[in-house]
Amino acid sequence: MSNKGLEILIEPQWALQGTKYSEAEFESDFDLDSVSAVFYVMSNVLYGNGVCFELRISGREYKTLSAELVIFLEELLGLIEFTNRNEVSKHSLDFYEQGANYSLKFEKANDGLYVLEFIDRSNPSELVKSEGLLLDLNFLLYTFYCRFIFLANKFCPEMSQNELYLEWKINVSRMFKMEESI
Amino acid sequence: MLTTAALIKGRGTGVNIEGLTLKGLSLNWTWKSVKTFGHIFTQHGAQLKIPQLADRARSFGVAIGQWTNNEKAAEFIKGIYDTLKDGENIVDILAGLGQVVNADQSIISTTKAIIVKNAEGATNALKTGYPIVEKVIR
Repeated sequence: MSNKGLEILIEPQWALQGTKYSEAEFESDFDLDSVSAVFYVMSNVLYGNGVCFELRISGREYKTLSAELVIFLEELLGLIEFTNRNEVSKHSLDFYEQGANYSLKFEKANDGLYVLEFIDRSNPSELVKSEGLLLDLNFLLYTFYCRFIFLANKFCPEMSQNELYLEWKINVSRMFKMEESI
Repeated sequence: MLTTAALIKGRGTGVNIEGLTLKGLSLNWTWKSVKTFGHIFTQHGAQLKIPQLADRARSFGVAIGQWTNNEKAAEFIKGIYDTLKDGENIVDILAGLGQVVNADQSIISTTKAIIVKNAEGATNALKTGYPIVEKVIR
């Protein structure tokens, strides 16, 4: 087991500048009938502006692109629920898109500790186990969420007003027990 | 031209009209619906440019599938929806409906695809789906 555990980041690859790549280039393609559609537009815009999603397990970086960011955003609420609610003892998060097939299985060991089993199915021999503190994981997710919201507000001002997205934010904020949505 | 009637292989339970169960009928089968199709067209649609798909192929070391016609692909998937199990399904597709893009931007036509269905209760009915090179699953 490694102590390094899980790292999930959303990072600008260069100094943030004005928007070079706008949300208008994507939004006309799809119906915004699911929050996933909003995440799709936002992820493409963020990647177009040099913001990348990073996944590291025990210090090793696993390849991700905008599709994996969408998947993580779709799964974020469930993962926060795992960290915050005592009655939720397990959670699975699957990054499944062509080329990437990562499975993260979280299980609570006790009130404060969780065990993570990471399987890279695109490389069958790859199985990594680590453990970490639930509070640490909660903080990791909170930090990710705040950074994502900041970047989405800056680069995707129209999409940031989408009703499904606002509803998602309210649900996430409630899960973090925040007084109001940021 | 692919027609729904020609493609339907549904078995269905309960209400069954043209091979679709009540659940399938309640979905919006326009290809633009992410709630129905998940990542199928956002990540593998005909609107994507070859260099975009080649970028992912280069990053992950696998050829990336692309539907050549979103409307026809949506109609095809609607037709087989009721036969799909949760998780991965490998299906035959008509020649010309799908292709895979290599890292060097070369293109190969294919007649196989993976369609991944979500379990009931998920936000989107389908997770993803893409044409694949025959005998290659991922």
